[in-house]
Amino acid sequence: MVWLLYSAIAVINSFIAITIIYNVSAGISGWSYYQMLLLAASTNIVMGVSAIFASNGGWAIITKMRSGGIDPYLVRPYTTLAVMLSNFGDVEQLSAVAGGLIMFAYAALNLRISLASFLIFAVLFSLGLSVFVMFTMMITIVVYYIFKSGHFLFELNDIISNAGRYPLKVYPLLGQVVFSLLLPIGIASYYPSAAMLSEASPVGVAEVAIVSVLLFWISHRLFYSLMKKYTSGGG
Amino acid sequence: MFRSVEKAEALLAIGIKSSLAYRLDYLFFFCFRIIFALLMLFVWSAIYFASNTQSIAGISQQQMYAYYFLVGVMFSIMTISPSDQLQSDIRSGGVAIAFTRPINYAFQLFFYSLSVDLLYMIISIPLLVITAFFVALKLSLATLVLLAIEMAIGYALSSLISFMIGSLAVYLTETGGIMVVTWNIALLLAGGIMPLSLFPPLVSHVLLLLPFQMFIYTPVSTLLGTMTSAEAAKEIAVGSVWAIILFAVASLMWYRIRKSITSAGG
Repeated sequence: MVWLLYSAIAVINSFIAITIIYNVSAGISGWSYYQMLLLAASTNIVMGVSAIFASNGGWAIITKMRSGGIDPYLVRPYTTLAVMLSNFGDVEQLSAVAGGLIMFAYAALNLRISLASFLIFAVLFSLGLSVFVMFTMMITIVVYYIFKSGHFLFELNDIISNAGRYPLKVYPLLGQVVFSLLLPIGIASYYPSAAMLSEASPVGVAEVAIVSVLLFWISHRLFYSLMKKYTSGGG
Repeated sequence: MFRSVEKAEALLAIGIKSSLAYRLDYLFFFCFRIIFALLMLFVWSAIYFASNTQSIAGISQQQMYAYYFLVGVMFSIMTISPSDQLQSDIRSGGVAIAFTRPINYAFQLFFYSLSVDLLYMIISIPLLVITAFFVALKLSLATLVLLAIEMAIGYALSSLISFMIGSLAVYLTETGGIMVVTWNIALLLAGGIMPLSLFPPLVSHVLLLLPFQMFIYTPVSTLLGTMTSAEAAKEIAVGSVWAIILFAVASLMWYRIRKSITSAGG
């Protein structure tokens, strides 16, 4: 129950932060209050869905790997990815998703979004969400191999979540590249939102879709190649 | 009194040695505080640019940048160590063994937790130095004295709140969630998301009467010079009153819990 509240707090915090920013200033150029709320809501939904499959950004997986507790799961007659996605998540993060959906609906109702734009968003968002979940699984394994500790993931999750609430264009080029290709919250949240709100061209939409598929494939390959090298932590 | 100091030193030394087994955590803490501050620097640059102004709610652009770097420094005050340790001791039965030792358990808990958090505070010093250098903070003796008092009261308040939540482990199976929820709410109320002066005036006034402002907003504002000495003194008084109240509540809770603790054995 408490964790339900915890995951809703991120949504509440972002709503309050954006509301205060637009109360005391002109906000961010090119982005109205409701557009910002919609972007933040998209990010919260992405983070919530990701956490449903990999609790605390993968902390639960790393904890199991360190103790060897993941071994019984790996001998099951399912793919490694399927096993991990289905066993180490946090269903209570549904509250973050629900909160994000409510904020999204509230923002969308105050914006004039055409059906075509929304469909483009839905497609790109679905692709981006898949990329982000796959990225979460992949980075969990990478972090395990490098640090053997999950603390890094807590902080990384926070940074990604905070960065994704604002338009990528506020960051310098390096930041935009990092949050698009290396930590793909931009692919999952910003580009779909921007495509919907600014009536993106078919070429732009296709580019984002192709990059999404590529990033998914890369994360997927890296995940499995690292898992092949996994040796039990014992216990 | 000297024996108490010796005990405190011993506990601090043990805690620091134990914490240094996880050196990477401190490095991550430092790096991610800088990254978070940089993210907010870019966001607020865009906001100031769009607003075409040098000051928002009385805060200049440079002060706003410095604010978020200093938030990273003050983050070390918000401790969860007493809650973690107390919950662990209650669940394992270690608290019963601790009562047999010639050291008051609360005393032991406080100094052990302080040893863990001291390393976070030490690792935050470079961040303070970097910020002071780039923003040209005017660090007078009076400012440093006020800052030291505010940080001490802030740490005492966060320790007491953490202790009270940890004590609930006697009645609940898990208090980690309550701790995380409380601290996430506290971060907002303490000005960790944005300065309290940006909130609507009535809300800001209420927030300055709560204990959380001593964690981040008041120390940072003192450093930045956006809070006068008189205002800082007022907030210190508010924080002190809360410290007395929370100490009394925590003492009462602990008195009742001592009577009802049943060890989990082991």
